[in-house]
Amino acid sequence: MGIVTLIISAMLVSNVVLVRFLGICPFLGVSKKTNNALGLGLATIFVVFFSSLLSYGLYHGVLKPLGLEFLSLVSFILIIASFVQFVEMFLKKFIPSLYKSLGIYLPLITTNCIVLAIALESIGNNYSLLETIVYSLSVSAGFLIVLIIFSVIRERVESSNRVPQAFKGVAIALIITALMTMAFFGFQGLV
Amino acid sequence: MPELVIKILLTIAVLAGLVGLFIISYLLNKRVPRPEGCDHEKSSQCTQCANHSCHLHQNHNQEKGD
Repeated sequence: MGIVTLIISAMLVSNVVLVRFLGICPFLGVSKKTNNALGLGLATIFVVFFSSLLSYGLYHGVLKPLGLEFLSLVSFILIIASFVQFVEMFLKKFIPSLYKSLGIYLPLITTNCIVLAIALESIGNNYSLLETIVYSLSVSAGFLIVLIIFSVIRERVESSNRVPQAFKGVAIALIITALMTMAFFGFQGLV
Repeated sequence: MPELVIKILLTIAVLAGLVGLFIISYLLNKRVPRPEGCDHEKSSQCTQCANHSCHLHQNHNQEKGD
C-alpha cells in the first residue's frame, strides 16, 4: 500500500471514530468546547505517535526475537501506561503551562483505545517503521479533525437554543455523530 | 522441555521488566510536585463524561454522601 493511500485511508476512509467506532468516550466527552477538543486531539497525536514507535521497537527488538509475540497486548498496555506517566512527569517539571492547559486529559489518554489499537494494528498489518509512523500520525490526525468538527457543531447547536428538550445533551450529540458518519461514508470510493 | 522452561522464564522476565518500568514511572511521577495552579486532580471539577465513579468527576463525592 502506498504512503498516500495509507494516509487517506487512515484519516478519512477508515476514520477511527466514525467508521471504526474507537475512542467514542473522549469523542463524546471532550467535545463540548473547541479549545478542549483541540488540546485533547494534539495530546493524543503526541502520545499515539511515540507509543506506537515504542511498541514497534519492543515488538521487533524484544518480543519477536525471543518468540514471545503472544505478550504483545499486555506489553503494549504497560508501555503506553508508562509512557504517559513519563510524559506527565516531563510536562510537570519542564513545561508547566502545557501541563496546565492539558489538565486531566493527559492521564485520560492512557485509557483511550485508539492508542492501543494503532500499536496492535501496526504489528498485525506487518507495517514497516515508516508505515507505522505515517499510520499513527494519520489515524490520530483523523481523530483530531473529527473531534474539532464535532465540537464546533456542538457549540453552535448548544448556542442556538432550537433543540427540543427531549433531544438536548447526548441525544442530539449522537444524532450529529450519525450524520457525520454518513457524510464520511462519502469517502468510501476515494481509495 | 528445557525450551519451554526457558520460554516461561523469558515471559516472566519480560513481564516483570515492564511492570517494574510502570511502577518506577508511576512512583517518579508521584514524587514530582504539581506546578502552581495545577491542582485539577484535587479539585474534582471534571464534568466531561458521565462516569461518576471516577475520582475526578464533580459528583464523585456527592454520590458517596461525603
